[in-house]
Amino acid sequence: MNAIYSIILVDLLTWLILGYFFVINTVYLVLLVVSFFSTRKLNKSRDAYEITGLFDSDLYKSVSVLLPVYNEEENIRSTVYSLIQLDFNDFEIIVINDGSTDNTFEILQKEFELFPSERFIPEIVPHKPLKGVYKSNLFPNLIVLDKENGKKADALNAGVNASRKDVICNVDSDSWLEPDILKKMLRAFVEDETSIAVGGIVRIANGSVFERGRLKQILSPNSFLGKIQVVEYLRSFLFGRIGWSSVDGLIIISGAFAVFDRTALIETGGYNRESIGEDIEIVVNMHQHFIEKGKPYSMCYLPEPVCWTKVPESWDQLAAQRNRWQRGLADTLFKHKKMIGNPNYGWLGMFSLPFHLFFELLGPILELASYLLFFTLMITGLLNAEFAILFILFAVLYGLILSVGSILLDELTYKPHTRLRDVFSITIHAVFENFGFRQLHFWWRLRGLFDYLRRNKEWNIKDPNPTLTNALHWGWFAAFNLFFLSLLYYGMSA
Amino acid sequence: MASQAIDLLWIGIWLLGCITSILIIVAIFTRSVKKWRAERRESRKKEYSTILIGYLTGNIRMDKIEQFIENHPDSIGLMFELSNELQNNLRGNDKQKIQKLLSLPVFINHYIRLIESRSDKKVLRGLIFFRELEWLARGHIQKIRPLLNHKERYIVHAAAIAIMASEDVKDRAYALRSLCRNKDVTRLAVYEVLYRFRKRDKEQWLDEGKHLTLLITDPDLPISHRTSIAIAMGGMGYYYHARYLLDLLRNTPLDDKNVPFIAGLIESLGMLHHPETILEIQRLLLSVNSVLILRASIHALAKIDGKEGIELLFHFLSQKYDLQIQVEAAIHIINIDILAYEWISETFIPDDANPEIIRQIKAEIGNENFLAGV
Repeated sequence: MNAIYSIILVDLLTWLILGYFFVINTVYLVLLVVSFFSTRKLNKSRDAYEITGLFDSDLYKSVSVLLPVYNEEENIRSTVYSLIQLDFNDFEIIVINDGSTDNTFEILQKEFELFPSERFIPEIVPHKPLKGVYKSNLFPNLIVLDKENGKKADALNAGVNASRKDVICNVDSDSWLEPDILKKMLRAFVEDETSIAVGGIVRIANGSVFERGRLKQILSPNSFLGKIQVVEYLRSFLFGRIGWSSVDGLIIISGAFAVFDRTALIETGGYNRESIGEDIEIVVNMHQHFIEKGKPYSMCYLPEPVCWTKVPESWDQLAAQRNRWQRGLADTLFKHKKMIGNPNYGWLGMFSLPFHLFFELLGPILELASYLLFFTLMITGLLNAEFAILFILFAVLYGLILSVGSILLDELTYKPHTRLRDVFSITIHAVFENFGFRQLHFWWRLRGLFDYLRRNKEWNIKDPNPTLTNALHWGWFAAFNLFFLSLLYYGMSA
Repeated sequence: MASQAIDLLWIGIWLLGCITSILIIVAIFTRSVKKWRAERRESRKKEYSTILIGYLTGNIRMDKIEQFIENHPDSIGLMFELSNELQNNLRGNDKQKIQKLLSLPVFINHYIRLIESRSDKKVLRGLIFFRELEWLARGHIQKIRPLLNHKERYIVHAAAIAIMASEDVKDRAYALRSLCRNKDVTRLAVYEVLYRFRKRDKEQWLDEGKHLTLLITDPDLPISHRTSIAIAMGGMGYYYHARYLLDLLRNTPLDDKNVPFIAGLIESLGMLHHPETILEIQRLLLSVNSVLILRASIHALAKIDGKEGIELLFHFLSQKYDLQIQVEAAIHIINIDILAYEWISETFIPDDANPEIIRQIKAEIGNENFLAGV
């Protein structure tokens, strides 16, 4: 009798796991197709526009670019110069020094000849006190706020209060913008008056050649982790966000580069200073606010504007970043739990948020459970090796379609990788990603979830021993691949 | 059941394997083709540039180039691109020479064939040719006009832009109207066409303005496009028609559906610096609490300048308004022209204004400037 129950249980679990993988990958596949058509449509109509003169007229919008910085003495000069070089008529740059403990502020003061200013900064959205407001002698549109440390959302709020333009664009201090990015991004606001938030494609800067903050050549990163993240970013931006945006289910606009209507941002109360992931929180908050007020609004992701950002290339930093992202997602979903499965919030409430809850937030638990189950069943002999290997191959191939699909989608966008060997190398890494890295990624996310439950609200949880962490990660990576190869060998011989 | 799962997995693996392989091949093939094309284009660019420089320096005759294009039909696109680039950068005789080259029947016939083709992509390429070469488009308006009824809105948009080359204001107004009748056309497209609607010749402005005012009141057009036209009239400086816009503002009933239109008229009149707008804003303030109208009023008052305008701008510092409105007014007060400081007076400050905002305004523009008018 027990044996029968065991068989039924195993069958049920098998189908459950199969179902989970099928649903998650099918949704991604649908998003890939949706974003392919959406990008193609946009590319087709793009050539019809020739808006050279309009940019300088009163009919276009103006922008405040916010750059929050904390201990960025290495990058600060080049980032500010890249912003100063932006090709746009009416914009101001507001650098917010969020209580840096290094020489960030001194470098800014010296390089840009700052002097104290009596700028009007109303208290519209809350933030920690300002220590000083400065303007540049060299660049009249450069403003620097020096404030007490309060983390990124707090610094952005100070910038929002100091801004005086129609639209707010926030940029990370380790990011570089394409010179004409503002013209392109603002198009969405002029095109659609209900537009409140617009995101653009963020690409990986590691490996590429920059000169004075301007991109010279697109190359893929040299490191293994960098290359794998290229695949991840292509997937995340080219079909993830564009796809979700096409079906009105967008819940995140990258913190590295995002543009918001200033009035709408203030109306929703600015950035949530308590949140761990301010980029996801602000978008979901705006959705909730505008839906509840019954105001028409739109948010979109454009496939062409490009922001180049540096990504971590060591295991410990990457683990900390992914841990934070997961805590940010958990935090936002928990704060907006009433929207999940609620038909009042439309497609977002009924599909996008539940999907993010079950597959993005709780996905690591399910995936880890499936690995453990596989392992246990194999050891106990309840699962045959053929099924295990076939299933892993199936999952890898399904995931690979999505990665290769994104690489292909990259060809449709503004600036794809130029070298054939880079495309080839990225494709190879899309395969390797599944063996060891993917499992580690789930582990980091799982830890992020537990850290959130333990109410850890640190920006980046410090690793006490990064050298050991890196060694352990490489060790795991090698062990996993050895294990997989032996499983393959065992399966084949069986 | 487990064997069924295994069978399914096998089928799935074969299927996914095939799809993945195809995608990888397509990705690498696409990149290779793009690379090959880019290299080919570069080498051709060099070759054609040499030909064009030879033509400009008198070493190559125009008929030789015509013959070359006829023998190499695939060179037309790049040849046009390079010639267009040159004609935009050159002046005087050289520019005329290039324009003469671009007027060759081999070019024009090719692009007319494109706009008459069934492929949307080709039609757009043809329209871009005429959009870039306004002086050439003028002679072919009748050929472009039918495209205003095209099913794709971006083709209608590109056709309307090409027709903006016409010297006849009726042609341009017809194209603008055709574009605006399509409610799916974006505000940016309307602005872009409007931006090209106005000619350099000031003699035409009066006539152009008349056509625009007809469009603003055309009941067949969506109110959003009518609002865009009203705003653009201010942005482009149709001063002769400010009175008409003012009357429209006076006579438009203040109901919910008209709020964006009224706000647009106020913005427009602000850009036209019409002083009587101040009285209209005063009138509206008695009954309006729409944020859209309040914000438009602040923008307009700051642009109109003048003592009365600035006095009314201070009125928005009253705490009876939302903080965002107060801040918006404060920012515009700070940004007023330095010459206008002499008009500022302490008496402008409403009794219920936020003292902190007033302190900060005074600090930024300087206390001595603030009291200049006392």
